[in-house]
Amino acid sequence: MSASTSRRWRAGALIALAAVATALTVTDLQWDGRTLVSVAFHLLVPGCAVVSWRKLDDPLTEVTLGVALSIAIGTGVALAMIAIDRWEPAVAQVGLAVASTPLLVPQVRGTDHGAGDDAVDDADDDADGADDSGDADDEAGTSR
Amino acid sequence: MTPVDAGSAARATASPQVRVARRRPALFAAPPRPSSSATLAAIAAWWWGVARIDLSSMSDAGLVSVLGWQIFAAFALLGLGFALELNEPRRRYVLAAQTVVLVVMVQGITALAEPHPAYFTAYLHVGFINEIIENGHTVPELDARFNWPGSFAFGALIASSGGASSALSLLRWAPVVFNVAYLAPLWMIGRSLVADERARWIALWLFVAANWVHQDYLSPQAEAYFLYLVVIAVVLRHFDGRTRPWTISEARFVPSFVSRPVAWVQGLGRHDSSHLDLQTSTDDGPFLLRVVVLVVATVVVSHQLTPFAILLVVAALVMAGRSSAVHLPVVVVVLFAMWFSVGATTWWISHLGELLGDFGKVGDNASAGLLGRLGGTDLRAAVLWLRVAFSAAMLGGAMLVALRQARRGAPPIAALALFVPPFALIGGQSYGGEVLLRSYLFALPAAAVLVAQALSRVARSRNTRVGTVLLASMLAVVAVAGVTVRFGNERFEQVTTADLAAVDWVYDNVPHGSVVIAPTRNLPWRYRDLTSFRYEPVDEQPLETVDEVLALVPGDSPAFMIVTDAQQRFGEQLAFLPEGWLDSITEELIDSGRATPVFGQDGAVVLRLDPAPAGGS
Repeated sequence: MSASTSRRWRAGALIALAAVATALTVTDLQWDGRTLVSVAFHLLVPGCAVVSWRKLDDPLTEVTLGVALSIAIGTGVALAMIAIDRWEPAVAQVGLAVASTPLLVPQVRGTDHGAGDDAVDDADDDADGADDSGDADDEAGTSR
Repeated sequence: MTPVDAGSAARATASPQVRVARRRPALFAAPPRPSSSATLAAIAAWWWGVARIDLSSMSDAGLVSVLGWQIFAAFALLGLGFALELNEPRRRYVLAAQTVVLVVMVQGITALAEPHPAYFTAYLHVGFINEIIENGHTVPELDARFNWPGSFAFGALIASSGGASSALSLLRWAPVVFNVAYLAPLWMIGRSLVADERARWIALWLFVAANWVHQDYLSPQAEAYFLYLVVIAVVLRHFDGRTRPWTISEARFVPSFVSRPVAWVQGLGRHDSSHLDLQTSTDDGPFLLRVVVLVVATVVVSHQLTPFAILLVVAALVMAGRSSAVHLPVVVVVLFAMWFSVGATTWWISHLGELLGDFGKVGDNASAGLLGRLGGTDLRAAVLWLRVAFSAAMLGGAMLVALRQARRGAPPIAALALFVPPFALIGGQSYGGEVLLRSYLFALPAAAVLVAQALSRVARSRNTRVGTVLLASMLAVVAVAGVTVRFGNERFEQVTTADLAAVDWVYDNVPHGSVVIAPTRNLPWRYRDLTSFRYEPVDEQPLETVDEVLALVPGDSPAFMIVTDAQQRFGEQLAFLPEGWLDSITEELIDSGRATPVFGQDGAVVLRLDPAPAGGS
């Protein structure tokens, strides 16, 4: 699978996750798996939508940074609701989903032009090999 | 050249078509390799072993005392599978899966074997989250932790938008989730520190096994630690000092006795590091820096200690010439100062003495976390000393590897910049006696990478078969030792059904506003109705006498005291109180006529404590 195809699938999965989370919230469906969906949504969708728009050259960095940014966004939104004394978690979740989707849709359609396109395409067939460069020199030991 | 290295060299010259073909192994066409078979056998043995755990027979040694041979065999098999896989070229997905399996096997034992999630503090954190879910606000005056509410607010957002009325459902698997999450930034850190890929994988194994300090339950520090790792990983990989070298000579007004040693260290750190996988493109730099600042801001509003660890490490990386993000340390300070002076005023205004009282007392702060905890029964003491030995071996081993590399003219400056600075935290605060443990945790990623290089070298120094067996043995021993020390407190930290039933009885039957007493803090209470009752005592010292208990009973209404076996063991093992101390207090209270049992179930009792009769004491 090429990096661009992989990126499309990731964006599609995030849109699907956002859609499911939104549907569960809007319908207020009581289901055991709903908390799990909520955890996945808040840990992945907002941050990964922002970071994937930037198209970093390394999928691992992209996802890791996406999770960290999701936590930052979710924390900021939650603290803002507390600060203004309007605790509306359902509205916040739907709002985050709505805000994230426009960042993801162009990636599914392949019409986005974020930074790093060329680098990603060049690294197409080495998607999981971003750290191969130094393997031959393991005698060098730890970085200095 | 090892098989991993040989594979790397072969990949470097292979055509794209060949590489694509190699990336698609026929998973089901060929018989399973020995490493996969060993891993599957490990999972089966572990599952069997977990199903046979009898928690009631646990001794003071903790969880290890009730583990059957199946669990030990599981770690041996997984270690063997992992060591075999390290000899296979290009099967990273298997190594990644084995590492995740290790996390589940270490952290998931209690999640599956125990009837309820363990550890009393986790329940209090649920109480903080539930307070936000129920009322949409924090209560900063209630607890210091509520002055850094970022993590609780995020937890409340997740739980309540998931339709849950309580965050209790997040407790059980939180340690597994956090430890799996740590793996990605740890891998990024590893590939920025060491070229030997085998050592990077071993470092992940070591980290999972050696992360015994129990800060990965549902807590702000667990989330902040993930963000700490992300910040370090991004700075190391994307802000390598080579992209924009900064030297101490650029700084004005720095006296020579400071600038000279710093310049010397920077000189050491500017050796060629082209053998490492560092992203030196500056295109993404501004974007990444903004993300890092946001992440640091999240840490600042979520946890008190972690911002200092980030500050120390990113400053050390700048000083060592291994970070071009020269302003990041200043940003950390400014963000912390802003939150401290605005968001956390409720707490620090009334606790300034407590905050600054330990400053500079390195010896006291260190001993509070080490010597102050050693004691208890023989089995308990054995586990505690094993913790000391295990941690000392990790830290000492890391120092030895660093010294060996320095003697060869290649000091691991970047790794040392991650490894040494966290211990400066000891000079600032005792942090409730935990600062030594926290420092160990912050230094652990670098320590794991350094020790992993030694293990990798030992395994390679013999022929493949002997080296593999040797490495597998070491990995299994480390994992078993990790489980032993990680769950050494389990006899009193596990939560029984009776414990929770007693707490729930109080919540369902006691009028709001009443005083609720626990002789020790080792009780799964305060996970709901955080502000509806007066919980006593508020400090960490156990109630050791009847008089101390009765002093908490109001003059005009009864109080309710929750007594559990776990609290008695907690007092015996951690506060070194006499055996049966809580039974004695309970009997004395009942004999005094002031206490009446109103609930009882399997070692958990609720006593109603009546006010002193008029004219009495």
